Amino acid sequence: MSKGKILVVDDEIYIVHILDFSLGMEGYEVVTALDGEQALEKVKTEKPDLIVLDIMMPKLDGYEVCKSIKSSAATQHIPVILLSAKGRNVDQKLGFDVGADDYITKPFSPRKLVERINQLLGQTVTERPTRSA
Amino acid sequence: MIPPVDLIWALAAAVLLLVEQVRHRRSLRHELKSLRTSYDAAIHRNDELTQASDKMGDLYRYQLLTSRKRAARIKKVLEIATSINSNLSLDKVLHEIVHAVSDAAGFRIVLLRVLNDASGEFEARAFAGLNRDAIRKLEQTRIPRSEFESWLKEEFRVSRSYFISHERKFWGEADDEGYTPELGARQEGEWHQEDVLFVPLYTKDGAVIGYLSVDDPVDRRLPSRETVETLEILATHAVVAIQNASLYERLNQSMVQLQEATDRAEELNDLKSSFVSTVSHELRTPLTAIRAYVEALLENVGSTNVDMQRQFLAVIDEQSLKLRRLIDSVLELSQLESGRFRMSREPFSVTALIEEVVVLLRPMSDAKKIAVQVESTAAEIVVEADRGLLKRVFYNLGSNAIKFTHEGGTVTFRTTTEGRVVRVQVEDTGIGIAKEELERIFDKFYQIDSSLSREYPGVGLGLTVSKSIVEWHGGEILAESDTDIGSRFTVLLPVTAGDASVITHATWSPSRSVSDHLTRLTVEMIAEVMNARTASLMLVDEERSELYIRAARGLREEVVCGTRIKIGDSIAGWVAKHGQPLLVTNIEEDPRFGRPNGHQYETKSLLSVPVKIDGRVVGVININNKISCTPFTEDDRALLSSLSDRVAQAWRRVSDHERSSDRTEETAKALAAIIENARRSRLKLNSGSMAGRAVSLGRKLGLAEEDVEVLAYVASVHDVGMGQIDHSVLHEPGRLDEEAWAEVALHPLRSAEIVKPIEFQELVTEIILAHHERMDGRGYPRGLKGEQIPIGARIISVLDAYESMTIGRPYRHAMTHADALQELRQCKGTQFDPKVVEAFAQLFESQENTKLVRAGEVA
Repeated sequence: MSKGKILVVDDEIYIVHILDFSLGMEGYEVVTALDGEQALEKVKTEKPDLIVLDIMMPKLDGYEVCKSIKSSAATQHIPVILLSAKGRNVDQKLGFDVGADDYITKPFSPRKLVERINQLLGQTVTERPTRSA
Repeated sequence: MIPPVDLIWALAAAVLLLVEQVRHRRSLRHELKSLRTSYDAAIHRNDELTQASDKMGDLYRYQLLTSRKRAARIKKVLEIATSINSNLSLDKVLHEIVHAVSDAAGFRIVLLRVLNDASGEFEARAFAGLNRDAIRKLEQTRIPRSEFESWLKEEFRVSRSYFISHERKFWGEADDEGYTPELGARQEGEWHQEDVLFVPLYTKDGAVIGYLSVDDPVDRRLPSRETVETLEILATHAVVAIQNASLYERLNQSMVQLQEATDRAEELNDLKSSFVSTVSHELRTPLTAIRAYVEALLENVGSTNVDMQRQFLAVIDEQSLKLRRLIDSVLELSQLESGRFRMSREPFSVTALIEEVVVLLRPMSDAKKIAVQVESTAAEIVVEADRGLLKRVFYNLGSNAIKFTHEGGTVTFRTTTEGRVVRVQVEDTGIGIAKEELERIFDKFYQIDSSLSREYPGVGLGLTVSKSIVEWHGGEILAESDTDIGSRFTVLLPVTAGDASVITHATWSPSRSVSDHLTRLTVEMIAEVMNARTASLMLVDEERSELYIRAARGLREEVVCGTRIKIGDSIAGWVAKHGQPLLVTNIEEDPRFGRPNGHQYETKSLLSVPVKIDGRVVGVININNKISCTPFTEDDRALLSSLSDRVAQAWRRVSDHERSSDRTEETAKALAAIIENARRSRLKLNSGSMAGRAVSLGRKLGLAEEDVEVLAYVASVHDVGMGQIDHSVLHEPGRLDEEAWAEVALHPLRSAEIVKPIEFQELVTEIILAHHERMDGRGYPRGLKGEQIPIGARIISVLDAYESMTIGRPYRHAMTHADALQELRQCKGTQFDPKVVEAFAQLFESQENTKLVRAGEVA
């Protein structure tokens, strides 16, 4: 039984893989996209419960994608977590301005990302042995 | 496991970059602060002056009430006063003042001289009522301070001015030019033409900064006290104007400097911060992957899924390698850019190096089934360079080419030589680069469309590093491309350090108005025309009484930037001090300058000539290393002196009209045409000696040394106009048809037109125009006859004919020396001047035979 469907968007294939792995372990169903255009496609076809979105991507960047999701009545309820190496305050502000629900800077901890996702989706945190890296 | 060393490296590099950034900002802030202080001080000074000027205005208003006649004059003065404050160009203001003096005080002739602090002489700056010749003469005569002071005798003083009446016989004796003034009797109360009235321009502190001198009063009367006082009021205004203007000039200058510094600071700051943010972003990407996978591994440490663990470790391994490569590139780039880089040059074979690189690239090319071809014009092409660095360059270019080429495509390395330059081209049949991208590909971290970066991974620093390396060698890297057809990268490398292109050294100097571009062309032109591998252009730094190198070809950058020679010291210093050329045949044996030969000089002979503008030495041109490896001769000296005169002329023209980019462009065009002409004529076998022959022939015919120098120059440039003629016309076999002939017949006109911007002697143009005229009047373009043709042109005509006969033209085979001489003799009287042909025959009868044998051996 899936806890929900999550769309992971990043042009770095390794990041997509590791999120797929971590979220899969947590019991989520994961769909992926490698650029902004693909992401918008998948939002329509897959109707995810939450989106993890990278900012610096070819074709359409994360801000654009987020803006487009948040401006459409059909999709604006979907929580978006921006994930980016851009760590300055202005970048974060810009992220919230386009309607993002959270902003996490790279490098990030997959564990913490999972926790944020659980919170946003109103899930309780699954007890797992953790080891701090 | 993570190699922790890599992580530490990454963080250390990031911290280093940030520290450097902070330090840089701090020093910029300091620079800006000090500039701002001087700017404020200048503003303050100006306010003070404006106040002083206002007070003076009050005084005039008071005086205005005193007399009607005066009122009219003072009104004019006030008008001028306003214009002084609103008008910031000193020359314009002084012009208005002298005209006001003329109008208000009633003198037809007015002269204003201003003291030049640097020379201690009074220079004529503004005139009224004088014709152009008189003005020019006055401009040329400068009055030394001591002479001026000798006029300030108490007995001449009226108010604060000086009136020297002709009875005082101040000019009693004949002056230097033998002019004895006419001292007739004076009519009662009338002005005499030898009277002198001048008003010193005193500053508030009593210092003299110039003077007004007036003559030819409208009323022909001796000046009244009132007139003198009016003059003095106007003089005060001239003082304010001069001080105001120089203040404004300084203010403007510091504002420009401030603006430039701010721009530069901002630009640097932008560059640095964009670099820092890009680097940190690029560092974060692999770091993010590493951290995420490490965490996932740690959390699943008990898992039995060995495949998953192995897969994760592979990602960590790969990403840490990527991080390490990135850090290496960044560090390398910062070393290259900061100049803290050590390069070791050694001779090696480029062709062998490329073979080596191709082997290294094989795994990549094989994987994509790409054929890598190697072409070269010679089995072995040797350069003196840093082998390791160049290997990186070729590897970078090669791997890029493979990366961006589809499976089954071709990558070609092509090596050719071109004079002292080696050209390596890396060509592919890949996806190509769009035009608008081409300009940016050498930028840091730039990858054509970042979506490609997944398909074509790389850190995006390869081309930037390659460019730095090539430029460090004094070379150049160029990119050409067509989308979907392929790309071609061309590396141009000088064979040795000495063959590097012209390096300019920018420093503050009065001659900064001559642009870098023009300076570079000047040096290039000298090197090409003189057939010298090394040429340098030094300028005089008057403040420090030193010479420094403004630009050079064939010298290392350290030498160009670091050399300073005291005027009077060493060879260039001697030349600058004496204003004379200096020819040294063998530096080790020269009694005056004997010293061990510097390693940058392959030959022991050198030649230096002064560059003079208006009789003043402003620089020195030095040449070394004749391409033929023979010592320089008196012929070369004549030619170089002549070139130096043209350089001076070009500069004067450009700096006289500083803001005229047209003139700069014309001058640049002339220099470029001469460079091209020199290169073109070097392709011919025994040319280059034409200037030398012209010198010998001119001397034998008893021409003045000055004309011999002109002849040497004309021999080098008389055919520059040929460059504009369509090549196919010249290379058409068989005789020229009518149209082509008309084209060729125009070339003397074209040549004259091209060199005009740097010409100042009519004789040069005359000779160029007439060098295809014939004694019998059947030549072109004007059909001049016999003595109508300048002797210089008659000489060039013989030399030109001889050269074209012995070299051969597309429409005619080469002749032997004897046959050519025979031909010249047959045409004397009709085509050539008999006495020139005879002189030529006597001079070269024997010499030329041996020369031809040597040339034949070479061929």
